[in-house]
Amino acid sequence: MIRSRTSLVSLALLLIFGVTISELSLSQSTVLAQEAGRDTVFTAPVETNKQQELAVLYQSLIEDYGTKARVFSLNRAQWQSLQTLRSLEEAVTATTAVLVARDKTMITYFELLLGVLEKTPGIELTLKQQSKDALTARIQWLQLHEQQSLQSVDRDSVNARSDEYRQASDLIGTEAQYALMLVRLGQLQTTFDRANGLYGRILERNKSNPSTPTQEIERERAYTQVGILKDSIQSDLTLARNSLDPQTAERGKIEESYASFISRLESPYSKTYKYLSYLEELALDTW
Amino acid sequence: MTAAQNELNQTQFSTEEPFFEQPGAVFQEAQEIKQVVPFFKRRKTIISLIIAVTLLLLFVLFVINLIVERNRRLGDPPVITTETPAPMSTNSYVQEVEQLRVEWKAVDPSQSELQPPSVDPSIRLDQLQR
Repeated sequence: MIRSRTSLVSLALLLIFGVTISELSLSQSTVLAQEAGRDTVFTAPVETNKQQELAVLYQSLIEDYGTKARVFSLNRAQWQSLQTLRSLEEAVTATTAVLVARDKTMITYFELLLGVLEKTPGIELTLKQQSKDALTARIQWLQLHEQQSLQSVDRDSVNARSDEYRQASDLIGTEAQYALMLVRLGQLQTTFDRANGLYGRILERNKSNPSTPTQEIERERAYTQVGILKDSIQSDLTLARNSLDPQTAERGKIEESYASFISRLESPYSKTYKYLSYLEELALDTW
Repeated sequence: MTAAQNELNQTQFSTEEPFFEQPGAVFQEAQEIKQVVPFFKRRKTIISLIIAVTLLLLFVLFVINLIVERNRRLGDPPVITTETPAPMSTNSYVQEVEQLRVEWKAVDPSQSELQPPSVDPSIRLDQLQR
C-alpha cells in the first residue's frame, strides 16, 4: 500500500517533469526553426555550390602557383650560374611545373568568371553570348596548353610553351577584362532597373490616392526632377553599353581599358544613389 | 521457619519453578520494540526528497527558459515573417529602397572582386634573344 502510494507520487512528478521538459524543448525548437528560416532568407547562397568549390580551388591554385614560381626562379638562377646538366634538368622540371600551375590557375579563373557572367542579369544577351563563347574557347585553349606543357620535358619545348602563352597573354587579359566589364555593367543596370520598377509602383500608388491640388502640383514637379535624373542614368548606362559593342563603339573599337570603363560607370553609379534618395522621399509621401 | 512450612514452600517453589527458570522470556517480549529504520528508508523522507528535487529541477528549468526567452527577444534580429504581402504600405516602399541601397553598395564598379590573377605571362627558361 505504502509502496504503491510512493510510486504514484513519483509517477505524477515524473509526468510533470516530462511535460515541462517537452514545453521547454518546444520553445527552443521554435526559436531554432525561426533562426533556420531567417538563415534561408538572409544568407541564402548567391553562388551555386560549383561556384563556391571553384572559388576555394582558385585560392589554393594561386598559392600553388606562387610556390612553384619561386622554385622556378631559384632553379633558373642556378642553371644560369652553374650551367650543369643537373641544374638544367631541375630548371626544366621547375619550368614545366610553373607553366602547368599557371594554366590551371587561369582555367579556374575563367571558369569562375564564366559562371558569374552567366548568372548576372542586366547584360544584353548578344554581348553576353559573345563573351561566354570567348571565355569557353579560352578555357579550351588553356586546357590544351596545359596538356602540352605536361608533355614538355626538354629545354626547347618548355621555351616553346612559354612563348605560346606569352603571345596569347594580351588577348587572355582582354577577354577577362571584357567579361568583367559586362558583369559590372549588368550589375549596375539590374539595380537601376529594380529602382525603376519601384518608382513605377510608387507612381501607381500616388495615382490611386489623389491628394489636394496643391500637393498634386508639388508631386508633378518632383516627378519631373526624378525623370530627369532617371533619363540621365539611363543615358550614361547606354553610353557605357555602347562602348562594349563593336557595332556602336566609337570608330568601331570597343573599350579595352578596364580602368577607363570603370570611370565611365562612376557617374551612373553615384546618380543611382541620388535616385534612391528621391525614391525614399516619394515613398514616404511627404508631397 | 518450621519443617512443615519448608515443605510447603518447596511445593510452592516447585509450581513456581518454571517462571524462575526462564527469566529471559519476559525480556524477549520486551525486545519486540520497533526496529530502528535508517533515515533514507523512511517513506516520508523519500517522498519529501523526490518532491524537493523535482521542484528544484522545475525551478532551474523555469529560470533557464526565462533566460533563453529574454536572449531571444533582446539579441536576435527581427524574424521575417513569410506572410503573403498585403498591398504595399509606405513603410514597405521605404524598406524596398533600403534593400536597393544594400544592393547598390554591392555593385560598386570600383570593387576589385574577380580581377584576373597576377600571374607572370613572361615565364621562360631561357631569356629571349632581343
